[in-house]
Amino acid sequence: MKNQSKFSENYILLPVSKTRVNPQESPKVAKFFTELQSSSKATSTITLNVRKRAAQPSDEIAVKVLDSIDTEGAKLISISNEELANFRFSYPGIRIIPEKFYRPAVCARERIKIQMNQAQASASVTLRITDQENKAIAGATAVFFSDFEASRGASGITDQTGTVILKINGEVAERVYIYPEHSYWGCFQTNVALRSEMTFKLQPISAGNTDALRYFYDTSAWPPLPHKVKIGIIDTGVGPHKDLEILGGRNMVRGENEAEYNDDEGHGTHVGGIIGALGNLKGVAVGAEIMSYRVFPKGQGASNFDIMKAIDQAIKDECDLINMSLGEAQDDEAISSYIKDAYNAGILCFAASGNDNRGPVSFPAAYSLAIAVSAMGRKDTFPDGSVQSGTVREPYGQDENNFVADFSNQGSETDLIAPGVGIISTYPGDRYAIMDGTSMACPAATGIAARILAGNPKILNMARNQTRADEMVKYLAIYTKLLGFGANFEGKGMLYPNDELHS
Amino acid sequence: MLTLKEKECYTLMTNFILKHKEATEPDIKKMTAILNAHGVRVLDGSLLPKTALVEIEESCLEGFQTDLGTDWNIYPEKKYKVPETGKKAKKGSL
Repeated sequence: MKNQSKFSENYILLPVSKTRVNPQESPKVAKFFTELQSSSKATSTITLNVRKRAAQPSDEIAVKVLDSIDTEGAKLISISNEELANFRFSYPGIRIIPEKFYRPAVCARERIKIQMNQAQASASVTLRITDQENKAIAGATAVFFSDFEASRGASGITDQTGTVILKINGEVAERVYIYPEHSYWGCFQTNVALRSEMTFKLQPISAGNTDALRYFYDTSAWPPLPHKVKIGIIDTGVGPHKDLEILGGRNMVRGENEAEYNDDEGHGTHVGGIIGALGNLKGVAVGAEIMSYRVFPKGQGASNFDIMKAIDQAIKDECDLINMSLGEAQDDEAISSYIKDAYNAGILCFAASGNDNRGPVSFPAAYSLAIAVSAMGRKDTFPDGSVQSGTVREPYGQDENNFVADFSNQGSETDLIAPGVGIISTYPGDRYAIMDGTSMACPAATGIAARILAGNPKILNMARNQTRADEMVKYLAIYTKLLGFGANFEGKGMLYPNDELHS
Repeated sequence: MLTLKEKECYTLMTNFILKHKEATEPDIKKMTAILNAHGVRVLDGSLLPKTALVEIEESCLEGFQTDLGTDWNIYPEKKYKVPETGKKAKKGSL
């Protein structure tokens, strides 16, 4: 019997719908609940089998059933954080909710916040940003920090001449970040002496760049998917781009033309390219049918109602997977109910864990029926002095060149990790851009999941119900590899479509 | 001239999502009557009959919820963002 870790926590298990499992609708879940019910009378730890390939040695998860509401009802279990992702993938189709403790609703005392007067700027810096041939780069964002910890500094966007004037206090910028919109690597420097006129030259994206995505997944050598997999991308829209084929979609933004599901902001097109780019640059799931569900009005946040409509539309369009590279801090039962509907229709929802510098996993990634994806990077897949060099932070993997991106959130809700640092993908205007984020890791995982599932038409051809979604999760579970970051950072690890994950 | 109820509900309108709880079809006639009685406007009915985006004054919410009964959940409309990684300086800080 496997020993239970001393860092165990309590979780409530519930069926996907309602509070009691229906043996007719979900016989496997009912059988599992009955098994747990019988062990709830004993105080000892039970062991559950981990789903693995037949050839691999068996492994077990230690679980203690602490309490139960009847045979078909909720179960309170204690399980190690390290084992939680293993449990989710081995026993899908169950909502897993952390046990919470509520306190009396006593008002907290107001705290006095002292507002300090801002110091006067002592320096004005005329900044020029160019390429290697001194050609001006417009639209680049420059951020100069005089005090990084306090987020004190100045920022601005370059005009058509590649120029921006920043007023900053002090003689040295603790940190400097330059973020181009597209086509170039960004720039990161520390302890930069300030001068009245400064120039930064950015490196262009070159065809020879092997980014972290292509380091782990040799996309240029992969054939198109052998079986139809439809992926709904809920984002700023997707394409058009010469390297992308979009099957269809819908603009879900209230008051806008529903036929306009194109993207002119960039985020959704970048996400789409990671999945399905099929030009010189290849995505991880070339041949996947991409549906674009636009939920972001230009430059604004997306309404949860529009996201619900998008999930509903993806169900109607018979998507197999949904990618949601978006998030917020608070739970949202309205969206959860639609993710649950998708799961019950045999669709898996992948969501970005969020980029709050090791903050808690964002919603909807944190919802137990969504697959939460965190972001990792690989040293030497981006230039020295690039923005990406500032994202390197522990924990490092078994291979010490792998790291969890400094921005990536963490928590026991993490299911998977994927490359999300310095990712090259498609950008509006038939351009290419480098982006970082769990937003990029999420489509990497969604796309690889599509590639893995395309190898098993038996599952894809199943009736569209919860059992189909359960089987998809179980099948993906055997194509995961731990990179050594720890469960809170990587969950079940990285998906790989064959035995050749480069790590 | 506005009635007292209309006056109460005239300002500070907020968007909420109505979602029917049960697997069965909701009674739309009854729901529409309650919406009308409380001056609630449907902003987006594309997910009806089970879900709708409505506009209502927050102080009227309690009475509206009571009349709807336990068959419906009411959630506030929220805004989601694309997670960014770019570092930002606080506005006005130097």
